[in-house]
Amino acid sequence: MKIVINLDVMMAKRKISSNELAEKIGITAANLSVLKTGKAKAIRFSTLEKICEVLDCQPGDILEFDPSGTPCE
Amino acid sequence: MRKNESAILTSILIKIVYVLAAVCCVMAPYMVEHYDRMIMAKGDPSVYVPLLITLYCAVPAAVVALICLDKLLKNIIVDQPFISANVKLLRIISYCCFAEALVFVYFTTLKPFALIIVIACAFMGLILRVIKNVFEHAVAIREENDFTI
Repeated sequence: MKIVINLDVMMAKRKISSNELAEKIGITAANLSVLKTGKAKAIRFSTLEKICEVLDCQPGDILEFDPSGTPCE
Repeated sequence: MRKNESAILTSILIKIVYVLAAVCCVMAPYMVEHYDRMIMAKGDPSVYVPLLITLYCAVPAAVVALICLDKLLKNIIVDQPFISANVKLLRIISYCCFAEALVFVYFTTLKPFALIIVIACAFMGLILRVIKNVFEHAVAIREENDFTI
């Protein structure tokens, strides 16, 4: 995927665990794992909004475009 | 509740067809003999052997289709209708319909009325292929939905 999820980096910066973040965003830990590992096919604006709110960051801090990546199916 | 009732009813129907298929397999020589006597009385030549061969050749595809239908229904009962396994099952069932059509093409050379069976089987196979394509799209949509966080 050409879109890289930098959620791990942001979580480390904010010193927040996966379970804590999942709970604050209101999604399951399994779904957060799908997002972190880059297996997700899409992200809802509402989820992105909550992540940015909890981690106090911008969408660009979490999502990055990598031209060398493989395109989505 | 209604959904379960419908699934249970379909399951019972499949079991009945299993039994009917088994009975037909055993009784086929007697039924064909009876039919053969009827057409010979009208002055037509005997079709005993070709019809028996046609019927027994049709059995494997019919059994495979029944097993696939049973599996498909079981997946639907456990709330998993849109999975790739079901697409595969539908594809197999459609191939079985086409196989049945091919089997009866042979008998059409002796009795042209069998063309109705050929057309019915081929048409059913075609419908199932379209349903399979719909399921294929549904599986893709479900996967996309599952992976939308």
